[in-house]
Amino acid sequence: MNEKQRPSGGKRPVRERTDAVGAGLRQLWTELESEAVPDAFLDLLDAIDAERQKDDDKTAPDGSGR
Amino acid sequence: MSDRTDRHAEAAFRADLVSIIPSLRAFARGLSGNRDLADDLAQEALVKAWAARASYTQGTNFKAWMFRILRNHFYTTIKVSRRFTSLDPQIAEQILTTPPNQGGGLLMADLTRGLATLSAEQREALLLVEAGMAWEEIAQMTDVPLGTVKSRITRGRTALRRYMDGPDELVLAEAEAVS
Repeated sequence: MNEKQRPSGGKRPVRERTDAVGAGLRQLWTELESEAVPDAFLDLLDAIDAERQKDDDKTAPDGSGR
Repeated sequence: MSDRTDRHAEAAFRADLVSIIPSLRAFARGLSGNRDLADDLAQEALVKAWAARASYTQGTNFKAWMFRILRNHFYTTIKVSRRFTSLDPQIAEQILTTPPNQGGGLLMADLTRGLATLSAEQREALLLVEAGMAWEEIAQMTDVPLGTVKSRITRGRTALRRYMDGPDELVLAEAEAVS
Protein backbone atom coordinates (compact mmCIF):
# COMPACT_ATOMS: atom_id res chain seq x y z
CA MET A 1 0.00 0.00 0.00
CA ASN A 2 0.99 3.59 0.13
CA GLU A 3 4.18 4.14 1.99
CA LYS A 4 3.48 7.81 2.38
CA GLN A 5 0.48 10.06 2.24
CA ARG A 6 2.29 12.76 0.33
CA PRO A 7 1.14 12.74 -3.30
CA SER A 8 4.67 13.24 -4.51
CA GLY A 9 6.17 10.90 -1.96
CA GLY A 10 8.40 7.98 -2.68
CA LYS A 11 11.84 8.40 -4.13
CA ARG A 12 11.24 9.83 -7.56
CA PRO A 13 14.00 12.01 -8.97
CA VAL A 14 14.12 15.67 -7.99
CA ARG A 15 13.49 16.74 -11.59
CA GLU A 16 10.34 14.64 -11.83
CA ARG A 17 9.00 16.08 -8.59
CA THR A 18 9.80 19.60 -9.74
CA ASP A 19 7.87 18.93 -12.95
CA ALA A 20 4.94 17.85 -10.80
CA VAL A 21 5.09 21.21 -9.03
CA GLY A 22 5.07 23.01 -12.37
CA ALA A 23 2.14 20.95 -13.61
CA GLY A 24 0.31 21.56 -10.35
CA LEU A 25 0.82 25.31 -10.60
CA ARG A 26 -0.51 25.29 -14.14
CA GLN A 27 -3.55 23.33 -13.04
CA LEU A 28 -4.13 25.64 -10.10
CA TRP A 29 -3.98 28.68 -12.37
CA THR A 30 -6.32 27.08 -14.89
CA GLU A 31 -8.85 26.24 -12.20
CA LEU A 32 -8.79 29.73 -10.74
CA GLU A 33 -9.14 31.30 -14.18
CA SER A 34 -12.07 29.11 -15.13
CA GLU A 35 -14.20 30.03 -12.12
CA ALA A 36 -17.46 31.80 -12.85
CA VAL A 37 -17.22 35.58 -12.58
CA PRO A 38 -19.33 36.89 -9.67
CA ASP A 39 -22.18 39.29 -10.33
CA ALA A 40 -20.31 42.09 -8.57
CA PHE A 41 -17.97 42.31 -11.54
CA LEU A 42 -20.86 42.55 -13.95
CA ASP A 43 -22.34 45.32 -11.81
CA LEU A 44 -19.04 47.13 -12.02
CA LEU A 45 -19.05 46.86 -15.80
CA ASP A 46 -22.62 48.13 -15.86
CA ALA A 47 -21.46 51.16 -13.90
CA ILE A 48 -18.71 51.74 -16.44
CA ASP A 49 -21.23 51.48 -19.26
CA ALA A 50 -23.48 53.97 -17.50
CA GLU A 51 -20.57 56.37 -17.20
CA ARG A 52 -19.76 55.97 -20.87
CA GLN A 53 -23.38 56.62 -21.80
CA LYS A 54 -23.41 59.72 -19.62
CA ASP A 55 -20.29 61.00 -21.37
CA ASP A 56 -21.84 60.31 -24.77
CA ASP A 57 -24.95 62.22 -23.79
CA LYS A 58 -22.83 65.12 -22.62
CA THR A 59 -20.69 65.36 -25.74
CA ALA A 60 -23.48 64.84 -28.24
CA PRO A 61 -26.83 65.85 -26.80
CA ASP A 62 -28.43 66.25 -30.21
CA GLY A 63 -26.02 64.25 -32.31
CA SER A 64 -24.13 67.35 -33.41
CA GLY A 65 -21.11 66.47 -31.34
CA ARG A 66 -20.40 63.32 -33.35
CA MET B 1 -8.60 62.79 -31.13
CA SER B 2 -12.22 62.87 -32.29
CA ASP B 3 -15.18 61.92 -30.14
CA ARG B 4 -15.79 58.95 -32.37
CA THR B 5 -12.22 57.75 -31.89
CA ASP B 6 -12.51 58.30 -28.16
CA ARG B 7 -15.66 56.23 -28.00
CA HIS B 8 -14.09 53.52 -30.09
CA ALA B 9 -11.02 53.46 -27.82
CA GLU B 10 -13.20 53.32 -24.73
CA ALA B 11 -15.23 50.46 -26.14
CA ALA B 12 -12.04 48.58 -26.93
CA PHE B 13 -10.70 49.28 -23.46
CA ARG B 14 -13.93 48.09 -21.89
CA ALA B 15 -13.73 44.87 -23.92
CA ASP B 16 -10.16 44.38 -22.73
CA LEU B 17 -11.32 44.83 -19.14
CA VAL B 18 -13.97 42.16 -19.56
CA SER B 19 -11.55 39.68 -21.06
CA ILE B 20 -8.93 40.18 -18.35
CA ILE B 21 -11.27 39.56 -15.40
CA PRO B 22 -10.68 35.77 -15.07
CA SER B 23 -6.89 36.20 -15.13
CA LEU B 24 -7.06 39.16 -12.82
CA ARG B 25 -9.12 37.20 -10.30
CA ALA B 26 -6.76 34.24 -10.53
CA PHE B 27 -3.76 36.45 -9.92
CA ALA B 28 -5.45 38.17 -7.00
CA ARG B 29 -6.51 34.86 -5.49
CA GLY B 30 -3.07 33.42 -5.79
CA LEU B 31 -1.51 36.49 -4.26
CA SER B 32 -3.91 36.93 -1.37
CA GLY B 33 -5.14 33.39 -0.85
CA ASN B 34 -8.53 34.71 0.14
CA ARG B 35 -11.54 34.74 -2.15
CA ASP B 36 -13.20 37.88 -0.79
CA LEU B 37 -10.01 39.87 -0.54
CA ALA B 38 -9.05 38.72 -4.03
CA ASP B 39 -12.31 39.89 -5.56
CA ASP B 40 -12.00 43.20 -3.74
CA LEU B 41 -8.50 43.59 -5.15
CA ALA B 42 -9.59 42.67 -8.66
CA GLN B 43 -12.55 45.05 -8.61
CA GLU B 44 -10.43 47.85 -7.25
CA ALA B 45 -7.89 47.21 -9.99
CA LEU B 46 -10.64 47.45 -12.60
CA VAL B 47 -11.86 50.74 -11.19
CA LYS B 48 -8.34 52.14 -11.06
CA ALA B 49 -7.67 50.95 -14.60
CA TRP B 50 -10.81 52.58 -15.90
CA ALA B 51 -9.90 55.83 -14.20
CA ALA B 52 -6.40 55.64 -15.68
CA ARG B 53 -7.45 54.42 -19.13
CA ALA B 54 -6.02 57.53 -20.78
CA SER B 55 -2.56 56.46 -19.68
CA TYR B 56 -2.81 53.07 -21.34
CA THR B 57 -1.39 52.80 -24.83
CA GLN B 58 -3.50 50.56 -27.05
CA GLY B 59 -1.55 47.63 -28.40
CA THR B 60 0.85 47.39 -25.48
CA ASN B 61 0.78 44.57 -22.93
CA PHE B 62 -2.62 45.02 -21.34
CA LYS B 63 -2.27 42.04 -19.02
CA ALA B 64 1.00 43.34 -17.61
CA TRP B 65 -0.51 46.80 -17.20
CA MET B 66 -3.50 45.42 -15.30
CA PHE B 67 -1.49 43.03 -13.17
CA ARG B 68 0.81 45.87 -12.22
CA ILE B 69 -2.13 47.94 -11.02
CA LEU B 70 -3.44 45.01 -9.00
CA ARG B 71 -0.14 44.05 -7.38
CA ASN B 72 0.64 47.67 -6.51
CA HIS B 73 -2.72 47.91 -4.82
CA PHE B 74 -2.16 44.57 -3.09
CA TYR B 75 1.19 45.59 -1.61
CA THR B 76 -0.17 48.97 -0.58
CA THR B 77 -3.11 47.27 1.09
CA ILE B 78 -1.04 44.82 3.07
CA LYS B 79 1.33 47.56 4.14
CA VAL B 80 -1.47 49.75 5.39
CA SER B 81 -3.55 47.00 6.89
CA ARG B 82 -2.00 44.19 8.85
CA ARG B 83 -5.26 42.32 8.81
CA PHE B 84 -3.81 40.39 5.92
CA THR B 85 -2.25 37.20 7.23
CA SER B 86 -0.70 35.38 4.33
CA LEU B 87 -2.50 32.67 2.49
CA ASP B 88 -5.02 30.87 4.66
CA PRO B 89 -4.48 27.19 3.85
CA GLN B 90 -7.92 26.14 5.04
CA ILE B 91 -9.73 28.73 2.99
CA ALA B 92 -7.48 28.10 0.03
CA GLU B 93 -8.17 24.40 0.18
CA GLN B 94 -11.91 24.96 0.31
CA ILE B 95 -11.93 27.16 -2.76
CA LEU B 96 -10.15 24.67 -4.94
CA THR B 97 -12.11 22.34 -7.11
CA THR B 98 -10.25 19.12 -7.32
CA PRO B 99 -9.87 16.98 -10.40
CA PRO B 100 -11.36 13.51 -10.10
CA ASN B 101 -8.34 11.60 -11.30
CA GLN B 102 -5.07 10.26 -9.98
CA GLY B 103 -5.20 11.89 -6.60
CA GLY B 104 -5.00 15.33 -8.15
CA GLY B 105 -7.01 16.74 -5.28
CA LEU B 106 -4.28 15.85 -2.85
CA LEU B 107 -1.66 17.42 -5.04
CA MET B 108 -3.62 20.65 -5.41
CA ALA B 109 -4.35 20.87 -1.70
CA ASP B 110 -0.68 20.36 -0.89
CA LEU B 111 0.32 22.85 -3.52
CA THR B 112 -2.06 25.46 -2.17
CA ARG B 113 -0.80 25.00 1.35
CA GLY B 114 2.72 25.15 0.03
CA LEU B 115 2.07 28.44 -1.71
CA ALA B 116 1.04 29.84 1.65
CA THR B 117 4.50 29.19 2.99
CA LEU B 118 6.24 31.27 0.30
CA SER B 119 6.98 34.95 0.47
CA ALA B 120 4.51 37.13 -1.43
CA GLU B 121 7.24 37.96 -3.94
CA GLN B 122 8.00 34.31 -4.66
CA ARG B 123 4.31 33.49 -4.91
CA GLU B 124 3.80 36.42 -7.23
CA ALA B 125 6.65 35.37 -9.51
CA LEU B 126 5.36 31.80 -9.79
CA LEU B 127 1.84 33.00 -10.54
CA LEU B 128 3.00 35.42 -13.20
CA VAL B 129 4.86 32.63 -14.97
CA GLU B 130 1.64 30.61 -15.01
CA ALA B 131 -0.16 33.67 -16.34
CA GLY B 132 2.05 33.39 -19.39
CA MET B 133 4.42 36.23 -18.69
CA ALA B 134 8.05 36.08 -19.71
CA TRP B 135 10.70 36.54 -17.06
CA GLU B 136 11.71 39.85 -18.60
CA GLU B 137 8.12 41.06 -18.42
CA ILE B 138 7.91 40.01 -14.80
CA ALA B 139 11.11 41.88 -14.02
CA GLN B 140 9.76 44.99 -15.68
CA MET B 141 6.40 44.70 -13.98
CA THR B 142 7.77 44.12 -10.51
CA ASP B 143 10.62 46.61 -10.83
CA VAL B 144 13.35 44.15 -9.95
CA PRO B 145 16.35 42.87 -11.93
CA LEU B 146 15.93 39.79 -14.10
CA GLY B 147 18.25 37.86 -11.81
CA THR B 148 15.97 38.53 -8.88
CA VAL B 149 13.01 37.18 -10.82
CA LYS B 150 14.92 34.03 -11.73
CA SER B 151 15.95 33.60 -8.12
CA ARG B 152 12.39 34.04 -6.83
CA ILE B 153 11.06 31.50 -9.30
CA THR B 154 13.78 28.96 -8.62
CA ARG B 155 13.60 29.33 -4.86
CA GLY B 156 9.82 29.34 -4.90
CA ARG B 157 9.66 26.12 -6.90
CA THR B 158 12.27 24.50 -4.70
CA ALA B 159 10.44 25.52 -1.54
CA LEU B 160 7.17 24.21 -2.94
CA ARG B 161 8.70 20.90 -3.89
CA ARG B 162 10.26 20.55 -0.47
CA TYR B 163 6.99 21.38 1.20
CA MET B 164 5.17 18.77 -0.84
CA ASP B 165 7.85 16.19 -0.26
CA GLY B 166 7.70 16.66 3.47
CA PRO B 167 10.59 17.12 5.87
CA ASP B 168 11.80 13.53 5.63
CA GLU B 169 12.26 13.88 1.88
CA LEU B 170 14.43 16.93 2.23
CA VAL B 171 17.58 14.99 3.02
CA LEU B 172 17.01 12.67 0.07
CA ALA B 173 16.39 15.56 -2.28
CA GLU B 174 19.54 17.33 -1.24
CA ALA B 175 21.54 14.14 -1.59
CA GLU B 176 20.19 13.69 -5.13
CA ALA B 177 21.00 17.26 -6.00
CA VAL B 178 24.60 16.82 -4.91
CA SER B 179 25.08 13.48 -6.68
